[in-house]
Amino acid sequence: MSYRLVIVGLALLVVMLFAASLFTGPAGLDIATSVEGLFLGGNEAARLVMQEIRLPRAILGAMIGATLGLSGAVLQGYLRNPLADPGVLGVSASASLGAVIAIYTGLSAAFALALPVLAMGGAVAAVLVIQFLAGGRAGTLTLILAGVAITSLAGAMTSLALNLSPNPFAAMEILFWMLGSLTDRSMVHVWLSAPFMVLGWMVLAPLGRALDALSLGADAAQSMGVRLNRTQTLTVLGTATSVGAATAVAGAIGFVGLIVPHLLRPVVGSKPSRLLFPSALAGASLVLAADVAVRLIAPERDLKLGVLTAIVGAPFFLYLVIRYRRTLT
Amino acid sequence: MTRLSVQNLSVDLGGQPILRDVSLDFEAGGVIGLIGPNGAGKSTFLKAVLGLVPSRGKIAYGGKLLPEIDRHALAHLTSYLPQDREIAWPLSVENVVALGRTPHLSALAGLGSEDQAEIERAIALTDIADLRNRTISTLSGGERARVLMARVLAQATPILIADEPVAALDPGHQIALLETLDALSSAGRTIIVSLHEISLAARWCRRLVLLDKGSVVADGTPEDVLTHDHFAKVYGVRIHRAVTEDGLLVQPVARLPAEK
Repeated sequence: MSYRLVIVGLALLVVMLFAASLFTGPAGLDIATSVEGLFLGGNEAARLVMQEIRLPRAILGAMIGATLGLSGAVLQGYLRNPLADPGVLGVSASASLGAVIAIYTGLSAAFALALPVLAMGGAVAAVLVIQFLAGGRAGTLTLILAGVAITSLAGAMTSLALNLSPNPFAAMEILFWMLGSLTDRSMVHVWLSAPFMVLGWMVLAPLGRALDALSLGADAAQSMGVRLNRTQTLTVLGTATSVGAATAVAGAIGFVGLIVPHLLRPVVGSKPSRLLFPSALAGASLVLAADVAVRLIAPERDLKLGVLTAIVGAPFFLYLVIRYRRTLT
Repeated sequence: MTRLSVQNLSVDLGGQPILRDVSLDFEAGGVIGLIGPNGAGKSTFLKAVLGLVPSRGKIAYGGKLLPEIDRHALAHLTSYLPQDREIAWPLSVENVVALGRTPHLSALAGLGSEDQAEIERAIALTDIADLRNRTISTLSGGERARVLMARVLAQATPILIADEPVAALDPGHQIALLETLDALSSAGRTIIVSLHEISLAARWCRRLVLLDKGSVVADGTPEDVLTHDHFAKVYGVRIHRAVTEDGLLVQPVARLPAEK
């Protein structure tokens, strides 16, 4: 299949699912009222639902999905490891910890934006630790180990917050937040996270050529002119900025960044650079589709997005392992 | 022509001295073979010359010291075949060879006509035209080695460094590759290869450098380097050595009793 065809097909899919996300919800608006509410704002209730509730939700779904797909593809390429996902550097876990601290201390109740801001602070802290541990001398194993250490530490601190939570409601709130969701996000969340996600994309997108060269190993890549330290720093910064911002507004949404590059690898001929843009589009499609699905499957129960991606993602990943085990040596 | 000059090169890895005070000059005019027993420091020497391992001493390309040459500029001067034949993804053969053009491409542009020409030349030189649409993971070890060599040739640099380029190749392809390298060196390229195949080194290299325990033991023509004394001292083997109408033939025949 030609690369252009893949791009066009996936872009159309994103547009369709974006529209589907706009037209799905408990308010039960018909399409005409929805479109009118979105663009003209005639009916005040419809305007509110469309512009204040569904539009930010769809925008965040698309952007977060693109972030997860792109960063997953970059990390798998950089680490030359098909098991890498956007969480491998510990950024998601530490962003989650920041959010948990905001909930635990009551800051998020007093000031709604405290949660995403502290979550981004958590992501920044993770980057500083990673650059301290793995910076200078480039080593993919060091990077993975640093990520494991940060994830474990953030997980331990999160458990501590749950353990010491003042009442069951605080514990429930922390747990539910960590499941990952796009429900009730506003345009403020979009304005807060979108610039960081776009910035992260701009850092990650030009890495394709270096990732291609890295297919032949670090030494060969360097002999072809790749500056390894620079590539690693950009990978870490780009992932942390975009994934940190995504996690800060939506919590951890698993499996998207892991599965999307796998799905597309055979389609684009395995070349890491050719995987980046399609992975961003497919990630956006997947999160938009999952976010439509949670509203259709259990409209009253607020099924969490992260739960659905994990339920669908884990068995699908297993299927991929079985299907490709012959080519994975 | 770019002259590669190495002075007093020393490398320590993990606290172990690997190379000690190696000084060598390289220029075009015949394939230069780096030989020596396992652990002699051949691969480390080649990596150090490319700045891939930390080293002491001076490495200069055309008079310019290595630390002052950035990675991109160096990639226009030297290409390198690592001994580690890693290929992370199931890429097509053609895609792998095209990677050799990486340093020649601008940030956004794809392959140009000159790039295509170099890729085709490299594919022809390594005899992999019939493999070009295959996936690299379906190839045999020797076929894979030829594809990776084609990648190096496609980089089209004045200096070519290859770590055991003929290992895993069948005799026909071994000779074909060495003929190719010999022709390239006659055309003005500097070719440095490490190898274990003594008979091929004798036949195809015009200069041999014998390394042992991180130091240069001998440096000269195959006739001067592949002597009974050197083999006894460095490899601990006895050789059969004959000058025939096919040139110098050297064959290790027996292990010598260990020296007291």
